[in-house]
Amino acid sequence: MGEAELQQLVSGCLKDDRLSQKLLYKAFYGFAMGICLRYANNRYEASEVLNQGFFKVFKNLEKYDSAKPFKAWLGRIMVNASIDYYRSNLKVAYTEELDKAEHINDNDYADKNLSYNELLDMISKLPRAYRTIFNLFAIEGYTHEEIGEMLNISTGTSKSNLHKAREKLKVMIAESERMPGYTAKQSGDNIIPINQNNTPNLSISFINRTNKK
Amino acid sequence: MKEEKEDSIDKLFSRGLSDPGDNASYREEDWDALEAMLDGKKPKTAGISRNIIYLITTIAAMLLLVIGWAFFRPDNSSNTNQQAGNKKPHVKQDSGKYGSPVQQQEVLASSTLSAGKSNTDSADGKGRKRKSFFTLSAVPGNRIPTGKTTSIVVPHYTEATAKQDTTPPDPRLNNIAANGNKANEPIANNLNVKHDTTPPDPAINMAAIKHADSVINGSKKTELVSVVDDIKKPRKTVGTAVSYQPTFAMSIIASPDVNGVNGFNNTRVGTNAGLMLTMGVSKWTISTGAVYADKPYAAPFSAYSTAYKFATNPTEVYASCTVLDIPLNVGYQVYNKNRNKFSLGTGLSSYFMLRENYTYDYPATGTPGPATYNIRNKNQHIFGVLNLNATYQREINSRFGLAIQPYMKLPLTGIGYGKVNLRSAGVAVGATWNIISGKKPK
Repeated sequence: MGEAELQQLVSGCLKDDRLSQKLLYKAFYGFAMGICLRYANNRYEASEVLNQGFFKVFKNLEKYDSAKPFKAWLGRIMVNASIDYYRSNLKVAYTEELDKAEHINDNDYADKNLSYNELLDMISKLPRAYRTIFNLFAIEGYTHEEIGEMLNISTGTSKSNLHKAREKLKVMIAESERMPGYTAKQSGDNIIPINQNNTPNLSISFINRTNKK
Repeated sequence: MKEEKEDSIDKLFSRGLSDPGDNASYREEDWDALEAMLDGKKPKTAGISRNIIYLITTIAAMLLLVIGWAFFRPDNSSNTNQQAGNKKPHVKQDSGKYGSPVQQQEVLASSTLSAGKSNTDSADGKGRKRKSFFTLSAVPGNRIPTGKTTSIVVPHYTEATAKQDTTPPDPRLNNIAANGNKANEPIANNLNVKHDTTPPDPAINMAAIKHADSVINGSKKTELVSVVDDIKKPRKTVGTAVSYQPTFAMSIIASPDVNGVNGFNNTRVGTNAGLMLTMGVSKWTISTGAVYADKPYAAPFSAYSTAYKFATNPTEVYASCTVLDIPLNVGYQVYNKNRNKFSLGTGLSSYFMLRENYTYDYPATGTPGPATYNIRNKNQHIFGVLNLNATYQREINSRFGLAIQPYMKLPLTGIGYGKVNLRSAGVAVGATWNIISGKKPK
């Protein structure tokens, strides 16, 4: 989308024109969905968060500084919407105890050839707290201090959750190597199952409590 | 070393998840959900159904009201007819035989008066006081048209009785009136009758005088009730003579119409169907209802306004809209002979745009820009359209009729997303059911 076209759409949206809103939504849907999918349990949840994000975009569009890139502004709103969603679902969250006995080879993961679907499937299987922190740190590039502030947790909790997230992902990658293609099959229709049936030692605890320690 | 390794897993995900590809492809239902949020932060399905439920309940309530009245009212009138019928024999007998208290007593005995009983129970003086009070109120010249029963002064009598008469009625009398038993009803009515402003028939007054005499003469008991009946008679006839009762009718209408923007040069044919309720008082009618309309139209882009700036303007906009039209019209009957009626009407319509589908036609194929735009339940135009119509109605019988109504709808505001001057003209055909007709059907 050209800069002039974008400006036209933005000015249309500022007048609450529904057609402009729809075209802007359509233009940035893929980009925004890419962010929301990473934070969400599944596509349905991602759509919900995405719409909450776009709702904020349309309601706060006058705050957007047209000198700055729109995509970055929109992306930040989507991340914030995902965090808001995470916060609203904090009450009962699932944390998983790591199987300490399992030995994981510290391979070099950077050149692993895993598809988008496989990676998304793995990340969506992470407990929500781990997933959020992993996303913020590893993909969005926030520091632990920033994350601590955003999620209202201590830097230590952020660090330890990131570590646990990484360990979980490593286990999943190792499993996928043992049974190649199993994730791809599972996520064949783009809808990631909510049931995490391949995580055997799942225990329920209040994540708020563990965080406040 | 470890940090590096962990960094590599971050990189794997960061890079691998950077491009969602087809996984995040656009879905129309997501936009629908967001649009619902933008429209009022409520789930879409709830939004639509709530509007429609309100509408349906309103119409249903109106129908129930009218139909309820239609079925309740004939019962009522037949009751009053019965009552009138019951009274008639008394009146006839009375008018013919005023001088014969004996016969009157016979009649009155059959009318189950408990007032008489209480009279016999009561002391003589009190009983007389009560009776003379009622009887004397009917003496000509002494009636105070709007006066209360307690303020009646009767100079016709001897001073002693007159004084008694001006005193407020015996509390027991009030009890009788308030009792509300069937047997006491005539007395209760009597009290009402005294409020009647119409002067009584002189013949009846004559009878009243005679009754009064009979009271004085000591033949007490029930004459006063016959006076009640006598006075009631003129009141009855007056009541039925004046009738400005409204009429109610329900119609089912359907019509083809032509829709054009800024005139009727380039028109498309649409269809309408709906239900109308009409209330009439003498020559005037008020009608409302709900009409579901399908309004397709074609407009040059110049007639179509949008806040969205097209990179290349389309040449033509084709629209297909479904509209819920709620009219509120008044009509005046200019002709009514035999079974034919002709009336002219005007009013305002509210358009609820249920669905608007726009297709944009560009000068050259392959021009970038939106091809279609669909919206639902977005625009409402309350009293935004002027209605003009003429109605010819022919009665089949007193209950049913057929109507033909040429009409025109001229918008007072821009209609729909494109704010177009969408005019409609058509001929509606309808069947009318008179739920309550002014004339009593035989």
